[in-house]
Amino acid sequence: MTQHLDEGTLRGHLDGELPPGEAAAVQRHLEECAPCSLALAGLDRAATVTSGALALLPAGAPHPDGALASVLARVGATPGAVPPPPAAPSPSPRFPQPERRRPGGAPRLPGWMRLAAALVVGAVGVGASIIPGSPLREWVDGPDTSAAAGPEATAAASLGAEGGEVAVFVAPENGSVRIDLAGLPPGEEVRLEWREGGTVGVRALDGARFETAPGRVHVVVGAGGVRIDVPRTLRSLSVWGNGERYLSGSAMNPELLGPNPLQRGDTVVFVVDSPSPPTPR
Amino acid sequence: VEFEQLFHQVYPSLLRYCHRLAGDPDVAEDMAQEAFVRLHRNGVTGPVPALRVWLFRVATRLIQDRGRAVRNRARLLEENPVLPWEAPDPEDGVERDRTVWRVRRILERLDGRDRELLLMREEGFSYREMAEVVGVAPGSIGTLLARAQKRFTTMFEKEGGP
Repeated sequence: MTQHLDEGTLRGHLDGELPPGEAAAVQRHLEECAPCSLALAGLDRAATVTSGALALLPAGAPHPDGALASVLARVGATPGAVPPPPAAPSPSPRFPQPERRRPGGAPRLPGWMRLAAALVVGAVGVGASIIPGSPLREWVDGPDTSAAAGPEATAAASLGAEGGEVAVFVAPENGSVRIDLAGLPPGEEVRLEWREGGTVGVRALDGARFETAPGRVHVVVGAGGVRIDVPRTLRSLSVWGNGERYLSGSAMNPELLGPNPLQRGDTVVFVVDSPSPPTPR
Repeated sequence: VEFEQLFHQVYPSLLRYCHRLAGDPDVAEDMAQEAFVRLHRNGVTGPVPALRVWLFRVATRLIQDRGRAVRNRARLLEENPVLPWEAPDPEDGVERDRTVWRVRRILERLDGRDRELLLMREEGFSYREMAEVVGVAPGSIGTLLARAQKRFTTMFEKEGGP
């Protein structure tokens, strides 16, 4: 696959609509093609913005009183006595359900942070090694990586940074582990180094500049955030922002780091919606 | 009884889709119920996913027909003005939220097919199901959806985002 991918293929890839063979070929291409990766990130962002905006629209009462009775009366049928079945299968896990949004509409977060937050909503088995009882290992070890089973969880670290707050999200995604860095100020330098385990995909939006070398990527951030996809087999990964280490460890046990909250007054926040709420270390 | 089960499974999603597509809760309720009435009267049967597509297709056509009628009436009023036309008041009733009003306006400015695809995607339709409702080849849905999302995002951000 030497030509660039068209946006229909990229959209289908994001939506999980491609046949497995084609999806694998697209994934391989994306790992080597920066323009297509950027295009993919642009489509992903457009879908997130669209979905977030549409979710703000009024959605009507879920079961207006009398609707069924009205229909049955019009067709001359008599209501049965069966209770309503469970709700219909949920829409695509890529898009948050309006019912599952927190009251008050869209989260009040800055652009990329909002995007990243939307991306981790609905993820399954998200975690990090610094969260006791993290489901990440269970997810990585388990044969089923679909978003249909297991506790829902999100993990995020909010790291104090000069000029703003940098959010780090870690989530399983299509058999790999996805790391989103959001809220990075333009011009910030993000550096990645990795060893033993495979290819790392790095995407950044809006004017970012890249320098690459074997086992190393250097990104000067534009107006957007940075997304990193790592295979679950990756043994060692480190991510720095402006010389400060944000994350370190293996894909199976990433450790989110940041300014020491006790010494410098900054905060490290984890938000995990799981049956047993974990506690930050 | 099967009809009632189908109603409970599909009606909430169909009503939400109709509401967003038509922009009017009363119209949405009428169209969603009318689709079920037609399903019953025509004796349409089959697995739930197929019936769901059928219901969405019928409701979409009903709203399209109604939209044409409304536009014709608006054109007649423009040619023979009776009262000055006013934009909906963003501070009024359900649409007092200005962002909601903007989203609504952008949806109205989009091509009908773009609008339908975006809203069906929100209801979790697969590409094949969306293709059946709008009457295009499944292979073209990815491209159509991507372009619709880009058009929506461009207009939304041009108007100031959320």
